[in-house]
Amino acid sequence: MPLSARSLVLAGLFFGLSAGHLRAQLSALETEHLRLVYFSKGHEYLVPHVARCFEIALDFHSRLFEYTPSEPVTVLIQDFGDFGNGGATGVPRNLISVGISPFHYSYETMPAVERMSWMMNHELAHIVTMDKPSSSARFFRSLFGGKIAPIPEAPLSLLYGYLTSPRLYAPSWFFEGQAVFMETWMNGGLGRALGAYDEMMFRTMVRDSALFYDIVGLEAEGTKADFQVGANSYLYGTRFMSYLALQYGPEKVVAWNNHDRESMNHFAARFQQVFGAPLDEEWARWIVWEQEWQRENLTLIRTHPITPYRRITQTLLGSVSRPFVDRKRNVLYAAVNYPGQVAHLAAIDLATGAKRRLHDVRGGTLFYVTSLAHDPSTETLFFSTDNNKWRDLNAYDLKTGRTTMLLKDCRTGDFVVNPSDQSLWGVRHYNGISSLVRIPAPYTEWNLVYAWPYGKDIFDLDISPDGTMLTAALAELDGTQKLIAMNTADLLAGKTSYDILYDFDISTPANFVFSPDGKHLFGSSYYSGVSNIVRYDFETKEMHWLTNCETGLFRPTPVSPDSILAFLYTGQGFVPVMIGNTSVESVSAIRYLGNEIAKRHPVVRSWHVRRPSAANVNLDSLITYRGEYKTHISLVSAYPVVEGYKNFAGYGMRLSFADPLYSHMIDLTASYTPNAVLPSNERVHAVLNYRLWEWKMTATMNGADFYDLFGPTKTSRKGYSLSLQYKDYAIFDEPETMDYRFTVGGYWGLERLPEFQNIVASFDRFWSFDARINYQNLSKSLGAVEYEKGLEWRAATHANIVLREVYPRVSTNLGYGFLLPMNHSSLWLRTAGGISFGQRDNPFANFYFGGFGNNWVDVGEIWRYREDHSFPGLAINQIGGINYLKGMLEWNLPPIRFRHLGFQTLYSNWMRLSLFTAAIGTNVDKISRSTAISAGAQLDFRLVLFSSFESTFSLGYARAAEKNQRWSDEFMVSLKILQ
Amino acid sequence: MAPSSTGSAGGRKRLFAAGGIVVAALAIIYFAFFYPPVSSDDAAGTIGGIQKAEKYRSEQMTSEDVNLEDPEFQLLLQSDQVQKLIGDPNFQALMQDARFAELAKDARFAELMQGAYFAELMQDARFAELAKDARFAELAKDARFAELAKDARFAGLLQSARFAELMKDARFAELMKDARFAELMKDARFAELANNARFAELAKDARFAELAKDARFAELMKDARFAELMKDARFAELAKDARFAELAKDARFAELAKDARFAELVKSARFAELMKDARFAELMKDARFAELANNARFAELAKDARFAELAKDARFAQLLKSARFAELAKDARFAELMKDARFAELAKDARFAALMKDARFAELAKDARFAGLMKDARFAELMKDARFAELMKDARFAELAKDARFAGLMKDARFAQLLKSARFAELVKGVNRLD
Repeated sequence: MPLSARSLVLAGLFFGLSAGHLRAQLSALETEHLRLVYFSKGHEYLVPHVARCFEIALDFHSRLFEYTPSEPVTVLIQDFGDFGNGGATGVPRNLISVGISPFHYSYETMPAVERMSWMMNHELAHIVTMDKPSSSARFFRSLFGGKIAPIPEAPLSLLYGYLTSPRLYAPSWFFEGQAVFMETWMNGGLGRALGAYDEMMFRTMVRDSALFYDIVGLEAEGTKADFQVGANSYLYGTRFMSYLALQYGPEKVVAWNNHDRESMNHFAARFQQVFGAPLDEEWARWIVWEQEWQRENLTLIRTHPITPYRRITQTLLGSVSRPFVDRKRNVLYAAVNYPGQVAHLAAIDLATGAKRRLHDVRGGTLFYVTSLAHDPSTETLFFSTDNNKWRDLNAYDLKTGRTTMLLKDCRTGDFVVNPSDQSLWGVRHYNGISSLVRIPAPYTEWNLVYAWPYGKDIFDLDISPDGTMLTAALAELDGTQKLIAMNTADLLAGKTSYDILYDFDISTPANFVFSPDGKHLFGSSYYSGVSNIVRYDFETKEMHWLTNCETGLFRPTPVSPDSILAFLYTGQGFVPVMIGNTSVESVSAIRYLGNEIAKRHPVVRSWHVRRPSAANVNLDSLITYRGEYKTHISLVSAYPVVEGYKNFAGYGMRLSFADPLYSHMIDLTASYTPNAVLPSNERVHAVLNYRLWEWKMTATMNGADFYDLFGPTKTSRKGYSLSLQYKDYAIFDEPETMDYRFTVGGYWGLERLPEFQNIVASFDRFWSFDARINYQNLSKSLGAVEYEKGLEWRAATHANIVLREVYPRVSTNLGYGFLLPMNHSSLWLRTAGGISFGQRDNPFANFYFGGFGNNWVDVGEIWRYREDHSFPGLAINQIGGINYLKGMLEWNLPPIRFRHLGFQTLYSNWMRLSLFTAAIGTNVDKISRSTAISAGAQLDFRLVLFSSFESTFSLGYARAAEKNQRWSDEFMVSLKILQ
Repeated sequence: MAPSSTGSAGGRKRLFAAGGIVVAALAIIYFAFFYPPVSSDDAAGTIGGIQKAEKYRSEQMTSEDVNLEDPEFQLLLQSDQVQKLIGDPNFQALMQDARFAELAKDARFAELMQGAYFAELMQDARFAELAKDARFAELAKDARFAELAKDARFAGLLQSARFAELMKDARFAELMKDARFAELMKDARFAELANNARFAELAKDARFAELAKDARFAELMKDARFAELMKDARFAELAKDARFAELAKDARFAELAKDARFAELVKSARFAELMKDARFAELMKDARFAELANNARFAELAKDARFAELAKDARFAQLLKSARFAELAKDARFAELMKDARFAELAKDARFAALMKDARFAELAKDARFAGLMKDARFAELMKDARFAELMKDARFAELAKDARFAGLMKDARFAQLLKSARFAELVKGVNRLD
């Protein structure tokens, strides 16, 4: 559950909800500290349980941290994705989003514990971190009317944000480490601080003498370039917290996260205060300790012979799906996902190890990539797309290479083909329930076989070669998991009893598949703390261990009676290997760090929260309201600002009001320029933005802007304006979206055109109408710095109405990009065109082009050179015309990542060079045609401020010339604050 | 040499030493192989030689600790049939209709939906059309129709093509409204007569029709003496004779007049008049009339004022000519039905008349399922319900009803439960607002 919920992101999430037509349906249940919001009656069944889990978790956090929420915590439960997730922010408002679907248990990266309780335990830990104030923060919150979220429109908010919520200025690993640590002990030991995957990752790093990231390197490179990307924040953060707890006691870990009267604000300063040592020094000590811990574990494993294996390919595959062996072609099929290339279906030659890309997997996810199934009789691969959202079922024809989408948004995965009738069986997630479904050929609809009660979840299905038996892993509410078998004919007749083949207790029975003769099942288990391959014998009903592995072996597939293909975990991802089908006699268990904590510091055992039963939480007595969600707005914050107006500075205030879900917002910025040079009627400035779901109203009076203080690009304008915009989505199926918006505006008292700062308005009053459509279907690989391939298209029509004359114009642009064989390198072709139906000599009827467009300190798009009105190398608005055609070829080189360039509060993640060349023609059909060409480059550095706020520093150079004119150069320097 | 104490002591030492060695050896063996002692917990932590990693865990919550709100509802929602239905625009629109929402809660509706007929019938376009018909709707509310619909005879008759044809006949429809006809229909004698082939033949005869209108004839028919005379074979023979008409004027006829009865009759002005009537003369010649005149039932009926009245009615005359009516009149079921007061009542109803003419109804009437439904008390009850009537007219419901999935779901008791659920209604209303 990445803490992607920085205030802006979460606000964006909720604002995005507004675009999904949810406004009329939101319901709420409120207690003193909770506002539980949901939008579907289909989710209502969970409401009391979630509320109880919240109250239990809050009660615990309140006692442990001496914490009282500064405002009710809004919890939105939703079903936007097929797998569970959660996010939280405490700035500016306490908000938690909970995806109610079951989790994915691949490689035991998640424990199979009751998830609502777990998520409340985890997410409230984030709220405590961000919401509980220090003494100084409490003062500043009362001064500014609340907690201030840093926003790019008002960069001074970065400073105020620190004053009101200093703990926000910490890296992801700190937040996630704290929350995972707390979740584990609040769950009674079922959490990732006692997880086998974590042990495996660090054990493998020690075995391979791999680099341990330092604090800066982890966020700079570790969470971006590694195949586990953001998960590294969790893994490192949790490990470090666990180490601290073992060495110094869990109470100190709590104290680090807590505030008291003397506590330092910054998380690193607080660390030193609590632990008596600088953070980076202790981090280094942890690495040394970890290496020793893992060497001991490796020694335990090596007590018995290590199972030999043979690598099939040297290519690193990153995350992998369930594999299938095509005996006819002697090929292994799997979906893979590694940094540099988008997730895709791959075929690996078992003889040569050569990998061939078959087809992209849209929405390939971390760890398991996609749900994959293979039907050898029809030579078809079935796979799911949009795996982070609502999954679709697709088929890839191995003979023709064609892909067909069979079922859109079927929300089903864990596919397996029944060899007896070619039907697909799978597990569907809907409204938080796991259901076994069957999809008969020709796969146009799914049929429910059995819906499991809430809390039970099945996964990793397989069907016997004769089609009579279905096996699965079954996870229970208490975290225990079993390998079960069911008769397919009985299931179709409505009989849903099952046999327990093996009880794995709290270890996951992972990826069990049938042998070709149907007499055995092969799977993997972390029973000893290390994932090894196991074989279940139907006749003897015994489980045999087949490997003793140092890192971890997963996803076995029997290839022949004496050989098994499996995937070996390495630090760069999973690699396919061949092992023998022979039992091992002995396997030693490793030690879990988390278990040592429980033994040495039994206080964590007392952190197991109470059960959320009706007996423990009398919810009815706590409820203060239940009914329709109220969109009443209240003051979020009020703080002083500095703005630029033309070449002057103005001083004023910014006030923000919003409802808890940010569906209804008012932002007002008002300032005054105390400079006598400026006419008196231009000294007062105001900008009002009012948003309600899809609607936005903007009113300006001599609109000013902070960024006008820096650089040549000016957005401030004399005069008044009033505009109304409606924006909505025609397609919202990420990564494919199409939004449309209509804007009507009126302008009075103008000097310059609103869009073109250097163009004098021929008349100071006019109306405008704008309608546009934006379509994009863009994707990127793991660790990418921006989108790397896809299609984007925009079309716009704009009309200015001046003195009852209408000046309409239309424009469109189209961009197409694709990945080059070099990782993270892409080539883009961008074209644009437009036509205006007005007089050439009227400024309202013209398009204008010129310049990069970036300001020295900026808030707009980083790569402004791609925009319609940009043309690097020429001056801003240098060329114009009533029609134009423009083309650009752009090559984005792979980013160079910096492992450690800077220090904790300021460092650079990466540097990336883009090269472009462009040509433009205006008035192309007229004698007054003008053309120009340009070539240039932009070098961008991603900076991280205060451990968590990303900014971009850009350098640009371009050389351009109009036809028959001299060449001109342009240098660009720009710092975009907050991304 | 006597055993020395030294020798005994040395033996004991050796013994102790050996014992000590054994003990030591045992201790070594024990500590090497059996220490520390294996507790039951540790023993459980291995599978053969596979050691289980120690992982702390405290007792976890159970399903009893998880209190959900109406979890069965959620499990019902997982059904693919339900999912498709709630994604259906027609169903969504319908669920937003408060009337349907109310109806869905009605146990009768639920039962009807689960019944064998309704679901299938709803897929029939004819029924769908009919269901929209306001007249049918009105009628369906009528308790009398409801009662009749249960009647097996009516049901049987509805399957008759002839009945269907007759129902379309406007004249019959008109007649059905006539109270006299209604009364007559109840009369057993008429029923019998209607079965009579000769009567059927005669009824087609225009002359008879004309005469039947004649008031004098009507009066005469009531006269018992004339009835007697009609039975008289001599008179019957005579009546055939063309000359009898002439003879009637002949003095010789006076001889006949000696017959007391005839004498009496002759005294009757009516008879006298009738004798002059050419039509009567014609009729006298007709053998069939002669036969009929012998028929006691006819005689009885002829005395009946109602018959007399009706006999004047042109429509009745037409009807009596109708071959279909003739056929139908032989049908015992029809006869029974004609006696039924409810049918009589209903027959006066314009709506019923319209329905009887409706080709769709005619078609449907042959359908056993429809017959079954018509007998269903629940359907009858529901048809009185304005909401149901509205629903029957609703095009969206009609569309939906054609869907086999919907039909299948309608039969499912659990879906009935779902329909009653306010939560489900809210859920469906919300579906079309989610992207």
